[in-house]
Amino acid sequence: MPNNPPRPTELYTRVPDGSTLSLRVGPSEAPFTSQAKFFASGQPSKKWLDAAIRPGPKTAVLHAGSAYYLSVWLAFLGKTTAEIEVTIQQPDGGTHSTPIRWSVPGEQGDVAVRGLFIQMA
Amino acid sequence: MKPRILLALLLVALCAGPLAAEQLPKDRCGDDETFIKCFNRFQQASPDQRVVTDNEVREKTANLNTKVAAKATSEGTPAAASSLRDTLSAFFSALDLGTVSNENETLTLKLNPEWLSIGPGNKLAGEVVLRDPQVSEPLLGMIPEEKRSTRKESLQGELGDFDDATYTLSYSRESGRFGRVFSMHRTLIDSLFSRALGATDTSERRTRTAVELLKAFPNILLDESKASLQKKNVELPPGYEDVLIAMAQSTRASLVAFQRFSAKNGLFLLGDLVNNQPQLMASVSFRKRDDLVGPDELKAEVSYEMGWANMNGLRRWLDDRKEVLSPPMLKNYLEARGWLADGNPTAALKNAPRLSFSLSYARREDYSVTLPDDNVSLAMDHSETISGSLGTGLYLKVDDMGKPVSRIDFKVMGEKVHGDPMRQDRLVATTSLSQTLTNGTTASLSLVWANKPEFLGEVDKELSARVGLKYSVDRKPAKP
Repeated sequence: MPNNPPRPTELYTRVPDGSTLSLRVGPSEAPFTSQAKFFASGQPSKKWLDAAIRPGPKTAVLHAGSAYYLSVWLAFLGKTTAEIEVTIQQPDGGTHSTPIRWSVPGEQGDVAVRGLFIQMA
Repeated sequence: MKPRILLALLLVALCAGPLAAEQLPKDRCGDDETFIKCFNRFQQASPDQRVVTDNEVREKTANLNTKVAAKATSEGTPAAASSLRDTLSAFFSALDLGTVSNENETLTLKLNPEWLSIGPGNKLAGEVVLRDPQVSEPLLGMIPEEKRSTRKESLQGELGDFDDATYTLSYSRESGRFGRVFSMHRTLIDSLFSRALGATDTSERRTRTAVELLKAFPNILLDESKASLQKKNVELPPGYEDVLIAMAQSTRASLVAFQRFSAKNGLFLLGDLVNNQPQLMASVSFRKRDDLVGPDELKAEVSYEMGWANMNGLRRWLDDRKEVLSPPMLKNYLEARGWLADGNPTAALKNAPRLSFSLSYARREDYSVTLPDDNVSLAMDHSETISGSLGTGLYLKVDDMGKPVSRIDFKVMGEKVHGDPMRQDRLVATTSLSQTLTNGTTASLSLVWANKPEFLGEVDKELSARVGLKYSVDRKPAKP
């Protein structure tokens, strides 16, 4: 279960087959840009640009027998706080574990990365 | 055991605790350290990279929680409503018409921008300000002194919530050429940073290897440690932790490279270019007052402000050369303009010189009020005022952290009045110098010139009939 506040790289384990990962980044008008990379075992990585994840949600279905890693890269053009939210919705409609909410403060010239490993049940 | 020995042992134990925690192996995971903790340890930013600390994150989260808690509390429930103002406030909030604030007997209702949408690039904002209506002082002054306070009370009782209301509609242009909205430049900014990340992220291969490893060994979870696996008789495959450590280290290295590449090519300075975009704004406000309070007033204003280094200039520069924007091209542009040197923004950029211009028109309507019981009558003809201002300013010095230390501003303001015998045309010019002192206070010095002595205003030192000096030190309130 993710800590509060979450660590820079977090972990979800025992995720049920067919769950859906959902990524949102905000606020929309804040002076930063973001980009996510989604790695699924056995597949080439996918790049999700700022326009796709802010405000999002950008979603991906997770399958048993695979492993996943999501990284979100941030670059700050002014002083603000970027908010990243990741949730996993189980096939039965419930939320897996606790949603991860990273609040990342930064100033002009700062960069940051947040990551998430996903291990399936 | 003697208390002194016990105390000594306790002190040793206290000191040994943190030391033991710090003595994790530098090239592998600790035996009791979970793999995810180990990964985070190796992914920590290098010493020359500014790191966002956990304390900063906690502080921000605490602020956010406070804000969320405040938002969750209704700003005025119907049960607590005691006047039309309270009811209106609750009604406004409940229907999500906008935001409500109530300060110093003034209720401000800001309409939700979505209700005023007139298409992309054109932003309208509506606001209603309800002031606590007060009987006009000139009117009260005409009532005989012996019954003035009694009459003031009774006249005040005749006033309602809407008897001093100001309705304002303001417009601002938000497009690729006007306004300081980041989303208007998102495609360009995304493309540049995406290229920068593509050129510097060397963690891709190692990340893919780590993900394949997790798939291959699904029985090993990252919230376990080597010791916990041993207890369960699960064998850790050789190189498992090395793959994770390599991924963490390459992610860290990529982050540092990404930051350096972006800084070297001036990508972060896009923030300055957006903030210096021209701003075009217009507003119309109408102040409706009961005759006991004062005359109605109409005011219209147009203003324009721009900084020299902006996105429009960058686009023009690219168009002239028929070039597509890329990180090296941005660097070329910023260096050619003298705003970037050796990967650092120059004083010419950080001084942020700006030019502003405004024009306004105000009309006070005909006004007439009679109080027969007091044998008082007050009347004023309408009057009009046209005023304009032109200003420029820049930061003279910016510290190493980019915070402005000193600033100079020059502003000239002219006003032409028709129909008001109490006011005359005037022209006032002001040059202001402000300096942030080492203790955080700001000292300011202004030289004021007016075309007539009576327009000089309050000055600290009169240099001549039309020239004066104003100086002040703004002390920050002491922290509790």
